[in-house]
Amino acid sequence: MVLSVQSKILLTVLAVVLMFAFFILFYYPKRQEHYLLENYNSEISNYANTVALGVKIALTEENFEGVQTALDFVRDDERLQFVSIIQNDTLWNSDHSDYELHKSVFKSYPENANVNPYAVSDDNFIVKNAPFSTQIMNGEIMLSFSTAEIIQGRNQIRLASAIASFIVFLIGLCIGYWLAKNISRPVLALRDAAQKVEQGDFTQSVITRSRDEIGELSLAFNKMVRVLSLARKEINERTEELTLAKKKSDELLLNILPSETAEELKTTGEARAKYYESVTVIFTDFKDFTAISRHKNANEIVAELHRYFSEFDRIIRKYNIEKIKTIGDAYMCVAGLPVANETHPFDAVNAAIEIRDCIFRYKKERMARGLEGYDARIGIHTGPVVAGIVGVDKFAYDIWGITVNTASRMEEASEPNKINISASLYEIIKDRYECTLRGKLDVKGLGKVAMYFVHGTKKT
Amino acid sequence: MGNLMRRFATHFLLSIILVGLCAFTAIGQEDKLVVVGNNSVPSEMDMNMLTSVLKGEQLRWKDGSRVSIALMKTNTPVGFSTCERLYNMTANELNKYFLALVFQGKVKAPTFFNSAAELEAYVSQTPGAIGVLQNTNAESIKVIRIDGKEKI
Repeated sequence: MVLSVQSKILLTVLAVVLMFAFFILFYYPKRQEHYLLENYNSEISNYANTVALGVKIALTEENFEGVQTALDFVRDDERLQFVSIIQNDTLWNSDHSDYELHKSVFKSYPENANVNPYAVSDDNFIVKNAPFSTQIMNGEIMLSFSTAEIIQGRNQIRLASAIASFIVFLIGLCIGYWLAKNISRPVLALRDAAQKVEQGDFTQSVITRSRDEIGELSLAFNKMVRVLSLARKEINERTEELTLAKKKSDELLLNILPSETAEELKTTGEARAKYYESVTVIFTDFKDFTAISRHKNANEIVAELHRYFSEFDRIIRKYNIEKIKTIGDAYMCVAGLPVANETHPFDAVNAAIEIRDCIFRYKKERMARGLEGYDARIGIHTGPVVAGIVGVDKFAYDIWGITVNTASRMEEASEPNKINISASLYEIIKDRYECTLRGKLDVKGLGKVAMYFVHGTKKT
Repeated sequence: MGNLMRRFATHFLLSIILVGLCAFTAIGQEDKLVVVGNNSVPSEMDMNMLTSVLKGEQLRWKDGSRVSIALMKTNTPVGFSTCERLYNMTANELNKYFLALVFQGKVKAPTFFNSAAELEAYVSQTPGAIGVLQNTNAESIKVIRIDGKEKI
């Protein structure tokens, strides 16, 4: 069982108070009774001695004033049971070789008192003897006083002690409760506040009016929470900044790398080159872009390319096609990686159709504004590639292989605003798209190669 | 010569008788006691009343004043004589007698004096006081006649 601070303080104070209360209840009355009894005995002894002295003077000096005055005092005392003159006689045996001390009551007050000359004190009476010796008589004064007053006094002391100990206990209980409450309340408040701070609530503050150690602790806690709050705020801001920076970095990374490759690069610090059995590579290139742009400034050229390529980006993103790079006014992308799929030829052709339509649309717009429009060639080929990252600075995701080269040759062999595809791609998509055979054309490095224009999807 | 001797012897014998008579008379005078009292005390009383008063059996006079007994100490001739003749007790018996009475609060104990003058002064100044002396010439106290006699 775990005791709270309040309980501990209360129990400690109660233990002290109980000890004090027990002291008042038992030890103090005992001591008082002892003193009372001692005083009582002493008082009675003094009476007896005074009477004995008075008797001695009376019998030797024939002066009875002393004994009379002493007896007046004794007789007036309500506690008196009896006062007697006990006469001691020595009784010798017949041959006078041994004797016996015989005590007899000479006179008593009150007269009818039944006095035993050998009486001793008991619970009800205190008996005191004071000897005297004269030529006339040897004996002692025996004085017996009632203990009723002592018993009454003792009872009063016990009652007073019981009341006092009860009051002390009550006061101690109140003080203990007050102390426990006053000490534990701020401690409990500190505990609650600390628990809330632990849960992330840095608005906690402990209000204390005391200037003791607990007050100082509360102030220190409040200061600590403020500092923690500021530190956390700063950390949050920094974290936010870092998160933002990381997000930008990730976005930037995703812009230049496929998400899977970017994740592999972040996780392992490197991205291994990967072979893809079948992907579809798209190339676009604006016809006579350099010649047309000769009369324009760089900003206008970049803005114009940005407009086209942004739309190309949007289109290929729709078909889950990976943009590889732009080289001047050429745009290269590939379908079927980094996650291999079986729809990449169709995705690529669909995207190429939309890109072609986009170029048409933009050309019309420009011409409507009295500007010269751009035409673009599009080439597509399907085949295997190797994809990966090379270099350590400004690395870029790229693809290599004969498929890339062939796709580029398809673009070069294409015509403005036409989609030129290889025979291998045609064999895959021919059932869904309207295509026209162009025949076998001479391609640099490849010789005579069959090519097809894709016009659009077949109407069912 | 013979007559002269006879007359001398007669005178000597008479003288001795006379001296003896005188001595007897003197001794008889010394044994006599006089009871004196304050004005509160009756001028006459009989022997029984005197004995009763002196033994503490009568505590007040007729006028209400308290009886105070004044005695010569028992080691004086008068005191000794008082014990024997008026109390019919020895000195020790007298002391024990009054100790017993005083102890039980029955009487005020007698006051004992060493000299007649002190006793006379006490009697004259204490209302209701009665004392026993051999003789007195004091005018401030009166001699109590016991059974019609001044000396007992």
